[in-house]
Amino acid sequence: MSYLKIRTIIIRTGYCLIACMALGHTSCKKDFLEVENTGQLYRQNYVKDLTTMEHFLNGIYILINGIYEHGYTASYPDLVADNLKPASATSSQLLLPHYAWSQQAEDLLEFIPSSLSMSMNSSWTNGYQIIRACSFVIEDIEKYRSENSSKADNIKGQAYAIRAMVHIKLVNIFAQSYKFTDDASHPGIPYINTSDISKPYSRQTVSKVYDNIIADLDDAIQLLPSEVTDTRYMNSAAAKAFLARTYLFKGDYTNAKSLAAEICLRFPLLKITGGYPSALFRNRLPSQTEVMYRLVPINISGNLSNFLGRFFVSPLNYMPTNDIVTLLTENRDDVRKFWVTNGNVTKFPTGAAPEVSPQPLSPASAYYPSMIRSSEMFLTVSECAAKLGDEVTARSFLDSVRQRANPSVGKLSATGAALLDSIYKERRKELCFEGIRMFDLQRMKMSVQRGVDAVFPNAISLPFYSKMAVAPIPVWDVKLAGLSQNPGY
Amino acid sequence: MQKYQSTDLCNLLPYAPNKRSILQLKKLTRIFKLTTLIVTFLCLQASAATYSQLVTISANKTPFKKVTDAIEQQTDVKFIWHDELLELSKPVTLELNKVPLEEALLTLFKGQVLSYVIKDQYVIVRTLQPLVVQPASWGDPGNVKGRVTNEKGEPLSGISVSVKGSRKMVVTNDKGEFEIDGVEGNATLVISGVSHEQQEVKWKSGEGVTVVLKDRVNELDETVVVAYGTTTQRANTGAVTVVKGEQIQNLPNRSFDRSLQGLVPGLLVTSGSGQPGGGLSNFVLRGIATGGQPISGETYRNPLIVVDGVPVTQDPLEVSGSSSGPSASNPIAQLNPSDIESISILKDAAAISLYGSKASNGVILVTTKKGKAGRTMFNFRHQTDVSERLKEIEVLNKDQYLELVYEAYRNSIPGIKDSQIKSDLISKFPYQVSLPGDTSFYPASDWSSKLYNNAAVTVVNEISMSGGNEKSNFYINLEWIKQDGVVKKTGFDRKSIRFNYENRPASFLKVGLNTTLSYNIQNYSSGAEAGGVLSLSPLNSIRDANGKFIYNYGWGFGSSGNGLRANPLAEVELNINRNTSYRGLSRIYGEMIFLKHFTFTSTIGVDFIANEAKQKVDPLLVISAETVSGIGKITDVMVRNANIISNNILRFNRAFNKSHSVNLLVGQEAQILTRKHNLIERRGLSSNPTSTQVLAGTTSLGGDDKQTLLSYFGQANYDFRNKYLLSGNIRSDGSSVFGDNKRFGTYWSVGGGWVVSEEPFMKRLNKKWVDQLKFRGSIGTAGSSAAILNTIQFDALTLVSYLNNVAVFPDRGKPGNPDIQWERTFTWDAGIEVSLFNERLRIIADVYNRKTSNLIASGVTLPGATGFFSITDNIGDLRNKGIELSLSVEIVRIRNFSWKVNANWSKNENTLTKSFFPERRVGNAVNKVGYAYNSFYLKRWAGVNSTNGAPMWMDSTGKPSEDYNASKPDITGKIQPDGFGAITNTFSYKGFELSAMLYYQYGFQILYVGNILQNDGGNPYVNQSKAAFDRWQKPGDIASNPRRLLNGLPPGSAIRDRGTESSTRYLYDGDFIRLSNVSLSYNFPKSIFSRMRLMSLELYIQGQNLMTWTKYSGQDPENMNVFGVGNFLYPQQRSFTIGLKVGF
Repeated sequence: MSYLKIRTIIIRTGYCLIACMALGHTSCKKDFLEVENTGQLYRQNYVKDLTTMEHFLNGIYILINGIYEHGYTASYPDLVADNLKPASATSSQLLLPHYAWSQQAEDLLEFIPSSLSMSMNSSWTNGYQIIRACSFVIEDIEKYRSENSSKADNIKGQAYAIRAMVHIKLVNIFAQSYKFTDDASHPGIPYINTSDISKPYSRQTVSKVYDNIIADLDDAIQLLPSEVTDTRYMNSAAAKAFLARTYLFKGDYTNAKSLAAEICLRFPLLKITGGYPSALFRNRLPSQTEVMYRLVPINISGNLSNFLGRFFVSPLNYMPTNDIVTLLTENRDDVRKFWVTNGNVTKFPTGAAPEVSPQPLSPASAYYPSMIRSSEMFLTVSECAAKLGDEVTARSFLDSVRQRANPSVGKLSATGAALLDSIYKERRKELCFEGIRMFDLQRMKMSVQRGVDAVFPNAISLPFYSKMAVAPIPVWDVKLAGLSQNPGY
Repeated sequence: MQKYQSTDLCNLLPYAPNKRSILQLKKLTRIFKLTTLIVTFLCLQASAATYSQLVTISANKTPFKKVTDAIEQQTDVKFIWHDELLELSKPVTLELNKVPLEEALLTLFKGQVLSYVIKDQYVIVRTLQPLVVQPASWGDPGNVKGRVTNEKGEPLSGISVSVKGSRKMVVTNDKGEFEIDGVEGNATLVISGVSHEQQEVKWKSGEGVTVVLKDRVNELDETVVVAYGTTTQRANTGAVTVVKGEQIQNLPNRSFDRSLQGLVPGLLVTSGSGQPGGGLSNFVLRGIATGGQPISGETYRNPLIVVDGVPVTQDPLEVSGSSSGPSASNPIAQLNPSDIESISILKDAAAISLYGSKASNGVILVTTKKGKAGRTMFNFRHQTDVSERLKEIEVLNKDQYLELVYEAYRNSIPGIKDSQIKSDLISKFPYQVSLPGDTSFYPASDWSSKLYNNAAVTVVNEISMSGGNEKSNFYINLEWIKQDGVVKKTGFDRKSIRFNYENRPASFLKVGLNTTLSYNIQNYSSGAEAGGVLSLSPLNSIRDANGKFIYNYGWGFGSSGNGLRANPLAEVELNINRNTSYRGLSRIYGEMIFLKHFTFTSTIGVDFIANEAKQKVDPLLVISAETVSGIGKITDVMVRNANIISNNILRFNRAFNKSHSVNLLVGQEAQILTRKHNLIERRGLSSNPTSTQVLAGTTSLGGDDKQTLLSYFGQANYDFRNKYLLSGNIRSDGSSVFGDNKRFGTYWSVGGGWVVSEEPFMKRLNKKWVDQLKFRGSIGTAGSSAAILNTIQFDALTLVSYLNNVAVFPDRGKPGNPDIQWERTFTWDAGIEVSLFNERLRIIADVYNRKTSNLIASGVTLPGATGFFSITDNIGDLRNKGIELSLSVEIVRIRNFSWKVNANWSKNENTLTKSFFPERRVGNAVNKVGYAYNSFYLKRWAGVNSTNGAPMWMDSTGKPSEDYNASKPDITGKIQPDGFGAITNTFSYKGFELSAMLYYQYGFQILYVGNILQNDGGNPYVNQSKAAFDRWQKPGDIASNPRRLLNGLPPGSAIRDRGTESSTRYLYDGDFIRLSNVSLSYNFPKSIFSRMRLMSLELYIQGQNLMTWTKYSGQDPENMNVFGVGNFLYPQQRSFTIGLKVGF
């Protein structure tokens, strides 16, 4: 009997223990619901110090090199203006509606435009993705500043500058130029400076957008080290150059000129002996190039560089207009005449990035496109000086660019409007196919003239103040975020 | 009933004098040799019914037993009784001379306290007064001893005896005896068994108890498994439908989800494809109540399935599912339906809210079989099914096909010569050269007979062993199934074992184990249905002149001109598509009774699946969606899914002074759900490796998900005199899926019932014909988080290397959403349950309204300046309201014959009541406020312009227009049916049972992808359905199909006819009625099988999917995907079954 009792007690105790263990195992510990997912990386748990923040910044460069600066969109400013034309008028051709100034507002969601695209929605989404990522860096880096303050400054500065650079492009694609209204009070784009996608946003005036761009670039210049060591990353010189471009577009010639002149001193023009022009698009040390910031061809996990060069080889998408061919080849001593060959664009070298592994699928994408370079700064100084009445400086900076490309040409003596025309012409020649033409025309309040070269008879000229000079705002931003649509769409 | 008969016989045999029975057995064996089983049975049945023997006995105070022995000797009858009855018998004095047996028995029992019944050749002796006999010798105070018998006086084993208001419970042993310690005087004992009516008996201290239980004629008191416990139909306050294991055991389906079609009001089951062991396209209870779009076989919409307390995985095992139909694999098919004792389908808030955040789609509780105390029983079942394909769409023969092809050429290229057409065809299709210059096409191949197996055989064998005693019980089942699919080289094989065991090491303690393991091999087909074999051009011969496969076709199959398509027969022969799954589902539990009224239960359960999915594309064949052959591919996907659940529950049960009964429950539960997968792929096979060859490939996809859930819940039930029932539930669920601030969701419900028939006034009025009249109602909430992954709150990154440094970049498509909220469903339900005329008529009706708020959907469009396209987010609200009606009536109930009709009808109306988006489109469907979730959104077809044969659509002004763009899409139909149900007629005559089920579904549309079979020449080289032959040919023709144009291009134009684009042209009403099952079974009478030393014997035949009546002209109305698109899916089958069940 007592044995049985003892046995019962043992069983009872044992069972209680098991029960307690079961309870303990699944007890109400709060951290039971904190599950770390090891199968996938997440921003929230990956970025936790300066090193990982730098990894995230590297990721932003991948987005820029892989998706954002895509040949389709890089062609846009030259295609909708007068430097490029579609190789054929068949419906499989890319950006035909854009070329024909007949874009349509779309609800299409795509990261890369297809032949069906009627709008620039992909540039919008891709651009804002980078902007949001930069905003995250700017917001979060302060947490890790204590680790290494100067490194934090550098990372943050790059993020500011990239965020501004992307906004510059978007405001030019989706909004009329700064001078469209006297005080630039017309609708621009949302200037996004938060990574929180749940916050509402709206279109700011172009004036406000420019203020924000300038503020971001000023911050970047403050934070970035003055020494430039690798032009594959955003740096202080590039930030200043973008700021100079911004001031120029805004019509603030004084600021534009002084900033541009500073860059011209630090990054002299690349001479023919130094490899000009094809070395512009190769990876060189900062001391051996005039490029302040360049892209890198990549072939990384779904992010594949498809730079503009690829669209000039088989299958041929774009061709130079007769206009630009004439301009580039008008002087047989001008080395830039090789930028077009047999009616094709050959400005960008192929296979010019042998150090990259794995190589982009097309060798025609294997080069380092320039995002901003000294030639533009020289021409900016020249243009600003001319506008400000200092024609000597204007001619001198213009001649540097002219004579660099064609040592046989003499000094220019033009003045007044003729001088400005020469500057504009040189700017068109030097920067052709580099994604700025339409924006120049717009800021100069000039019409687009294609003449008999036009592929479509109804797309021969686009007067200034045309509604169709800017792309429609994506339909979902109009419908869901309440943005105003551009007139005409 | 039948089950019970077999058990009681088992208990009886040892008491019966068995000399004769051995003799009889020998006799029987001889007969066996002479004739077939069925004939045997018929003969014996006849002879048993017509015995008439004479008895001669002279007795004077002779013991009763001696007289009966004498009768046994003189006749074929045998007396069956229990020894105790002998003590009650009085000595007999009588004089009989050649008296008929019936008369002899009458005389014999005169003056006895015993009575008898004659059943076949047995005389079963029982007490005259069926109730309480109280032998004074039994029992000490506090210790109840007793015995339970049936009305025949036979001991009942495995009957549970509990003390009301406490948790004391014991089970009777094989002599029907029980003993309970420590019982208070004047306690009430509750005696209940599965096949007997429950009875309550007052116990007086110091007395023994004998209880006679009536056989159950009454379903109201059957145990119903509900959330974390059991109740009875009588006392239940929730809307619950119970399906018994035996109702579905014989169906030729490998998974029980399929078998529930038509059996459960409110539960819509659409099989989708006919793939053996495959998934379902609809498994939806009371309408869609979740925002998740199951675009690749996901199971968000499915009810939660809980097997023996363990929630089971239903998600497909492939890493990427199919968008054209349900997934090839279905984890539910890995569980043997034969192991199921019962399935409870919980529908309203009162029933489901105890499952909280996973319950808003309803809950299905599956309880597996248990051994019963008593003799160890063996059951063997064999079943053979033979299946054939259901009807196929008729396509054109070679001549008709060529007529259409030539016509398309001539219409598009006026003036083209026949020789030019032929030479173009020769350049596209295989041909033979019989003489130089004499080229001809191969004769049309008979794909149907080569690709399909019209007598696909399934063999099922299983043997189970079960039994136990008052301390423990067990059930073991071994099963082996080999199913061949109707598509050659497809099929599903399963080997499973189940072991359920329960032990009571002490009176206050119970521990148990439910476990099953299965090994499953599924061979599915990718080519045979997906590519639309029907569309194969008759010019594409299976084999060339040398008898070798023509491996790939360039034209005339699928979408022509986009490169090669593999020969589907060669795919079947050479490719491999195989899922090998290992499933383990186990639960271990312990239950402890303490402080009289308390019970503590602790459970740990595991659901484990390992699946190896192997796909091989032979290098001779082109890889699907690619253009060149000669590459070959082996893909090996390993998926491991392991879910662990642990819960601890404390119950309190107490009855207060007869009238009030209270039971309370509090519990805590934790779950860990993990899933890992790796995909290894090897391409560029230079040789042709065997599928088993170890792969040296690259891991191209992998993932590792983990989710945890932590819950607390409580329940209170109150019952006043079985008249007023009240229940309340509350559950708080925390999930790692959600962000910190939204982590816990709380769900509750309140339910009540009023059993009017228990009211004294009703009892007085209607006692004779009202068995039960109950009103019940409930309101409450439940949730769903199934459509979200654990990672929802985070922004995914991809890790790469950039300029010799590490880089991580945000995934472009998937922003995190830390603010996402639980989907929440608020339900009210009102029901009435009526049972009349001694259970001959039962009606259960329910009306409900379920409102789901915060629908979670993926792919919710974001404005572009967010930098993303879409997000998973809460998108709006949805309402389901409906009626369910089920009726069961026994129209005829006479001695040996009954005719019973079961009918049910469910109607559901699904409406999107709120949306943050004006029109969210998902393929051909739209989600628009005021319409059903996922309604068809199509342009309206306006027929053919009879002057030029051009296709037309209704433009925005309502006029026919040839401009497709001028037409605006409109809501033109819905995917989920308005209503569905089934009518089952069951006829029983003696051991025979014949039943026939008609299943119907109405009020929905199917968008038939038959546009490939009716393509107006847009895809000119594929074969066409017979319907395509009616086409416009010349001005004035009134035709249902437009002009045929080569590639859709009119002469000299670059603008195609767009007749085949999405429109109502291909939208059909899907309404159908199906004779889904007819079965005939025969239970051999005891007289036969007992002589064979068997406990039961049943033979059955059945036909499944025998007839379908529908206007839909596609493959089969069930061959559709979740978005209502009638695809070319694995064909549905008609099958015929023969089966045998033996118990011994």
